[in-house]
Amino acid sequence: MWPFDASDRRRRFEREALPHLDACYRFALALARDHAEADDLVQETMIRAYRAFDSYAEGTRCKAWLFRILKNVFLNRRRTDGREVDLEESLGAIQDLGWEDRPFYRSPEDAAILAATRDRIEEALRRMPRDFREAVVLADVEGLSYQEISEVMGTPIGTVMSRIHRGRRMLRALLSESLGLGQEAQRETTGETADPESGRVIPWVASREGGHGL
Amino acid sequence: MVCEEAIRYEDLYLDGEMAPDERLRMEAHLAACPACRNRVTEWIRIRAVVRQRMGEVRAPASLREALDHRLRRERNPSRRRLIPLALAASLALTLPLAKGLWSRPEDPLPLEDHAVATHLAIAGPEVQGDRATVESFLQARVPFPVRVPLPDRPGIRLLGARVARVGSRPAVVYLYDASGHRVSVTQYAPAGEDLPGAPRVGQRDGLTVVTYPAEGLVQTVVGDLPESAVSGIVPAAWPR
Repeated sequence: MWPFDASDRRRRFEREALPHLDACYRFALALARDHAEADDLVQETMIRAYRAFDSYAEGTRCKAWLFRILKNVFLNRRRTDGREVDLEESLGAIQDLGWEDRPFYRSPEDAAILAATRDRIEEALRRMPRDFREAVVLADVEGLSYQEISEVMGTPIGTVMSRIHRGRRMLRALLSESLGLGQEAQRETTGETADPESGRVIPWVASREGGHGL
Repeated sequence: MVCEEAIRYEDLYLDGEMAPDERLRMEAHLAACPACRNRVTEWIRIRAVVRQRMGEVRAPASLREALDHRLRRERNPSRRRLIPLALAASLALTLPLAKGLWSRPEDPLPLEDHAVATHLAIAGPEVQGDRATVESFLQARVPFPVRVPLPDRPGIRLLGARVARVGSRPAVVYLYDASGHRVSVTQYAPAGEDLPGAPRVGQRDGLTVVTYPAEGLVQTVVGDLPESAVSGIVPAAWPR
C-alpha cells in the first residue's frame, strides 16, 4: 500500500534537492552571522530535508521547500541561543524613513552601481536589516514568487511586498554610498536642496555602527 | 495610470506579480512616459547585476564533503539496528507472522526524528475544518483508525491536517496553534518495538518532543514551547 524504496528516495533527493545546495548556502548567508553558521544551517537543512523527503510533494518547488526548512532550522536555533530578538530585527522595525519612495531618474550613479563588484554588493546587503536583506535575496537573487517568499518568511504577502520595495531602495542607496555617490547623487537626482533631513540616506547605519541601536 | 501609481507598482511589475490587466495599464504608461520607462529599465538592470554577481556564490567544497559524509551515514540504516540482520532473518523464518514487526531497513531513524523533520518541513494543512471533516478526509487515506488527538480547549486551535509518512509508514500530521505556538502531532500505528509504555519527553533542535501511546496509536507532539507548557496540551493520556 505504501511502496517505499530507500535507494529510490536517495536518487530522487540527489536529483531534486541537492542541485539547490548553492542556493541554500546563499540563503543561509543572508540569515547567518558568518560562514560557519551558514555552513551548519545548510547541513542541518539538508539532513532534515532528506529525512522528510517523503513528505515533499512533487509539483511544489523544491527550492522553496528547502528554504522553508532552512528558515525554520535557523529560527529554532536562534530561539535555543536566546537570541530570538536580535539587533537587526529591532532595527528592521523602523518605520518609513522617508527617502525610499522619492522618485529618481537616470543618473550617473547607476552606471557605477551596474559595475559594482560582488564584494560591494555583499557588503551592502550585510548592512541591511535582516528582514529586508532576506526579502531582496529571495526575490532578486533566487527568483522566488511573492507567495513562496511569504511562506519562507512566515509573513503576509503585503509585508513581503513592502520589504522588497524598501529593501531594493536600501540596497541601491547603500551601494551608491559605498561607491562614494550617496548623498550628492541622491540630491542631484531628486533636485532637492540640501535638506539635512532628506539628505540622510540611511540614518540607522550610522547609529548601528555607533553601537546604540535605536 | 499616472506616474505615482507606476512608481508604487514598479516592484510588482518587475517581479511579474501584476494581474494581466494591470500589467497592460502599466505597459501603456511606460510606453508613454520616458521617465518611468527609464526608471523601470534601471531597476531591471540593477536587479540583473545583483542576481548575476550574487548568483556566483557557491557552497564551499568542504560543505559538500561534510554533507556527503552525513548523508551516507543516513543511508546506512543497518548500523543503527539493534537486532543484527542475520538474527532478524532467522526470527522471521521461525515467526513468519512477526516479520512485519521488526525494525525495517527502510526506517533508518527513530520515528521521532521523522516527526521533528516533518514538523520543520510541513507546508500547511491539506484538510481544514471541524474534527469530523478532518477525520473523514484522513480516514479515506490511511489504514489505521484516525482520531484527532488533542482535545478542544481554550488556546488550542486545530488548523488542519495532512497525510504524511514516518519512515515507510503511513501517518497523519495534525497542525495546531497553541496560543501562538506552532504545534504538530504526528500519529501513526505502532509496529511492535516503537510503542512506548509511557510518554517519552525530549528536546531536539530547540523543540519539545513528546511521544505517547493513545488508543492503540503512537502520537508524537512537536512544538516550539517549553516542556512545562506541553503538559497543558497533551491530554490525560499523560499522567503527571
